[in-house]
Amino acid sequence: MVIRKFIYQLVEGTDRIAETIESLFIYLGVWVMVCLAFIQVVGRNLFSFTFNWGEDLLRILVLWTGFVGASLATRHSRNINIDVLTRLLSGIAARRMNFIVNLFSGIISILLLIAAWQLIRLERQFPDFISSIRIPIWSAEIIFPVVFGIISLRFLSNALRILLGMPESKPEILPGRKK
Amino acid sequence: MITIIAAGLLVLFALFGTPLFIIFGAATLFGLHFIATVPIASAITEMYKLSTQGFLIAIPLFTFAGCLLAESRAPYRLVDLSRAFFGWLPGGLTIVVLIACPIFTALTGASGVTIIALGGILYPLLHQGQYPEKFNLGLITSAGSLGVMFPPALPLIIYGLIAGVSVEKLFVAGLVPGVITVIALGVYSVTESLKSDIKRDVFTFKNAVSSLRKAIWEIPLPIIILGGIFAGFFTAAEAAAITAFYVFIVEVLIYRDIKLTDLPRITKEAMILVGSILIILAAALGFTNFLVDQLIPMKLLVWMKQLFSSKLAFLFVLNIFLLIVGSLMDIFSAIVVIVPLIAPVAMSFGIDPVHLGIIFLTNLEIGYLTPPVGINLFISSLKFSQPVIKLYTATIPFLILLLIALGIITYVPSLSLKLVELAGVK
Repeated sequence: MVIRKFIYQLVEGTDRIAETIESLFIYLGVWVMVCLAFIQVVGRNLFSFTFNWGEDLLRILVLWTGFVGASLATRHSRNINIDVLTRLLSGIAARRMNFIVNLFSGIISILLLIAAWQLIRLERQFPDFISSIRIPIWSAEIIFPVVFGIISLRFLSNALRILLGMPESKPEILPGRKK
Repeated sequence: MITIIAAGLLVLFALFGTPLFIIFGAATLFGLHFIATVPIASAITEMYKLSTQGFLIAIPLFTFAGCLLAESRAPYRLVDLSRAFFGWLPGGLTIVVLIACPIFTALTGASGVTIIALGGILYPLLHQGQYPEKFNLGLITSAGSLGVMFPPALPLIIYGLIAGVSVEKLFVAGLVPGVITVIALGVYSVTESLKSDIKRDVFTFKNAVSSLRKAIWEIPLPIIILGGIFAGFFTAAEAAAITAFYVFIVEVLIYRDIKLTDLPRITKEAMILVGSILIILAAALGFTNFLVDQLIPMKLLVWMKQLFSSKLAFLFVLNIFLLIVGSLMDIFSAIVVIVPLIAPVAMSFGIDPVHLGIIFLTNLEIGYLTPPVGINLFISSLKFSQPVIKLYTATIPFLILLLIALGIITYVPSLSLKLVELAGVK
């Protein structure tokens, strides 16, 4: 019992710290994105002026904030799925299926992490550059292994929770639209 | 043989609620490793390519603006404004519903919040107006599904991205078909309310001016989005940049509906929505690329050509198929899964890809209402605490009208394409 509680708190605590960092990143990223995109449009249309690094930076920001958003979607079980047959299951059958789905998702995420890592290793051997900001493409791609790593941990810890009969993760609840 | 087993297992996993990006990811990895026998790293190369699509940025920016609008008091102002101007007409309140819902759906990116956000305001209003309960349920559930074809709804952007069609063209092409669906429901609603003796609002000039003044900062929004694109001033991505910035200034700094302390939560909410869509897009692009490499769309094309002798037969079957898909899947994954396979076939039958987009979206939005599993039937059932069976019967007249509208939109392509041509949108 004590061990179970310890595992639960360890997993939940780590996940919570990750969520805080991810949320902070998203918040800053989206603000830079909103302001920079606006400045670029106004500059281009009114003053025929844009930052030449602006568009590339925006693209990277969309990718990064989007993928971190996807990682948070996993934390909050908000991934898009079809889910027609789960409604037919109840009780222990639903729990078993949930375990299998989380385990499978965790394994696939690890494979995606490996694929991402292979890509980065390849690109580091023959680096290509994003010309306007003079950074190698692989450094923009680093988001893939990071996010797939976090996502796989989330799926696997969900599977572990179900296996040990522990309560499901309780992320800070996002209040629904109030009105 | 092993491929068939793997495909069957993946479909089963998908139906049991496995996130779709995992399904696409698994399919791509399997295909690359076992069938194409190339390094699996190329799955990620395709994901990165997504970021090189110029108008990808429109998705987070419009979604962010939509979440801000949904959290503000904009829904109330929108309802007040349409009530002041249309409430005095016969069946006025139903017209209010049919104007407010689609606009709200389009602005919030069609993420399924309309019935929850606006239903809470409109349902009691209709009830006070002494409209019959069953009719109210049917109206709100159906109207809450409309709006997918009005800019800047996300499904239009996602279709453009997947099918490689100009988003600006889609924004314009959806207008007339979108209005047709609204009018179809409008005519029925007004006739129904004329049958029963329902009191109407009285039009007062004072009321109109006051509601106009209250919403004065939000009224320019459609003009910014549509006007800019129609006039060729800016692209969809640029319209998104202006909209996001403008909505922030208006809702947070001018109306002060949203406190600064709420912003982190709303931003996170928006990006969770964006992320869940983006990761599917990324994974699906990898899968599509694999399918194209294996010439699957070509094989499908040959098969379909043998199966259907004419364009009309193909369109008819496509409609039925998409209605079923639309009732089973949410609109984003349906677009991502089906479009890459069907688009080449449709083009070989001489269907314009822009028109095809509008056919897709009309079908999928009607799918929201199609029994037994259309998602909006369940959302309404929860929101208004009514049994789902009651919603099936309540929505049937509306569903029939929308199906007629779908027939017209499908078989008269000029309804979608003429305006694009007239406006000269590129």
